[in-house]
Amino acid sequence: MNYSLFTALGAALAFVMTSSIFAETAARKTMPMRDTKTHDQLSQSLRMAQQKDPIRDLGPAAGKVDEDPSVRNSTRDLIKDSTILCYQGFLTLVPKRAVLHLPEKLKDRFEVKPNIVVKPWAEFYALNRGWIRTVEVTRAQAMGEEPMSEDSVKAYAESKAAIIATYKGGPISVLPLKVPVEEGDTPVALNSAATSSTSPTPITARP
Amino acid sequence: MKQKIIKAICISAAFAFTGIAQAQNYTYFVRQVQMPDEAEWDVSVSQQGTQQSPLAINPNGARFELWTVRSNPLTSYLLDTTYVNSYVPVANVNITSEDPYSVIPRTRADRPFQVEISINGMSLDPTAPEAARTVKLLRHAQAYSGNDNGSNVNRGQANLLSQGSLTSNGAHTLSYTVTSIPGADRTKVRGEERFSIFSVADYQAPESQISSKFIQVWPMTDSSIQGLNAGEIIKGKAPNINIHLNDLYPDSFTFAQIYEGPQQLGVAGVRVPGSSILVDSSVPRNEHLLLKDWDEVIPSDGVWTLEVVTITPFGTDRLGYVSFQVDRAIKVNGSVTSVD
Repeated sequence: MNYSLFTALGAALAFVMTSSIFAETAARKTMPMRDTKTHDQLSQSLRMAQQKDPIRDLGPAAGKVDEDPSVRNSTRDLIKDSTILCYQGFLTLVPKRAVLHLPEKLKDRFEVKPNIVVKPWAEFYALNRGWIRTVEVTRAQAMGEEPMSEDSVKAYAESKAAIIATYKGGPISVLPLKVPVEEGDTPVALNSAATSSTSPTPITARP
Repeated sequence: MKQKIIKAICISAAFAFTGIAQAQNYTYFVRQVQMPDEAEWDVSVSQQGTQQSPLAINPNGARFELWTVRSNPLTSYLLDTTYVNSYVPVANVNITSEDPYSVIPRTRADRPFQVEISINGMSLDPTAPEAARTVKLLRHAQAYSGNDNGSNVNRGQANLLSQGSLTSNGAHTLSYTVTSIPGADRTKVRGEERFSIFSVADYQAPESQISSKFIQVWPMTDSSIQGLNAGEIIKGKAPNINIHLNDLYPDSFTFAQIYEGPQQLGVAGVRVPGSSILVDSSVPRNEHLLLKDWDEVIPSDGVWTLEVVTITPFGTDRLGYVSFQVDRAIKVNGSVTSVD
């Protein structure tokens, strides 16, 4: 019995020793891995990349190269470049010059109020038909190439509702009526049919 | 045929920019700005989809602007803009990297990216106006200030790195091995690079953007292991370890692993329990790990290595490591004597 016990202990000891030796010599499990790149390595890569910018291989840029055209759009702000309509917690934006008539008593509905929810034009108009009327204009009228009829101008000038110019349902700015250009003259824009609106913004002043 | 192409404005693609915006807080507007007087028309749009503009762009062309407006505080963001005219070429810019994230192209400060530009409708007639025969390609780079993530960046202040002309239709591919966003520490560059196609100015319109895309570049992750020094000997219970992780990549899985022996790059060890962090976000994140009661992963005496590893779309990177010794064997020096 003692002999059996010693035999078992010996076998177990041999197994443990063998396992230990095997563990030290067996290959470790590996996975593809790298150390993170250093600042110096990336600086070197940058120097090489800057010498090989593929845009420079395209040849010189056409047009003005000393002005950055992207700056024009970056200064544009839809809120500043729009007329605000705000009532009962909802707000929408329409292009400037789209408001053809603004009665005095509705002026406070054209200012931003706190805690509002912005709505697209169609949704805002559906909620505020009581004080907003739309007038469909033609493309030529919007571009200032044709005048609006005197009757309609007279009608909305007396309206108690705010009048918004629309084209196919969407608010559109109505530019001042252009006077035909005489030879040698510079183009002149008359005031538009709007009875209350902001002043026209010259193209050169636009972003 | 071209008339049909230029009349169509594909809104759905541009909405991809807005994936980070929560729909209930933002409202979208599309403005059609007619050249040259810049009369504006508000195009009613649904949240997604494609539609033709009923306001013809001819004769002078039009600029389409996609805006999103936040309610509180009332703020507008220009998401995309494109200029179309009957003779101006149509262009599309696409930027790709190793990260398949689809909302905004993104990569890391040490990784490459590609810019693919396709041009259609460019005139090959040498007598055609220059605006019909060529477009400008502009490359801008802009660093985000501090730890900003680009939400308040003023893109008008971006650096114009280079510009050139494209004079042929078809695909043009530009490859960049690493970003050129300015930054003193190249591993911590954070910002964006923008590639834009502009028309050439003529009597109808100034130089106007036809297509533009940007790629966001996020800094590399760095880590520090505190509470265990290299070569330290653990004789009893394993000490608490603090691991500080800065700028974890927005799509990353980071963990601490341990293996027996001195440090060796590429070893797959045993993950330390409680050390895993999964980041699935649009911007980088800082995290702090506290490793406690991790004795079970160092069962025997000898040299061991603790590593911090991060897995990203770019592969597996070792952020840091510390090798130490475990010596828990108790040696008793004594002798047995007998008294006879």
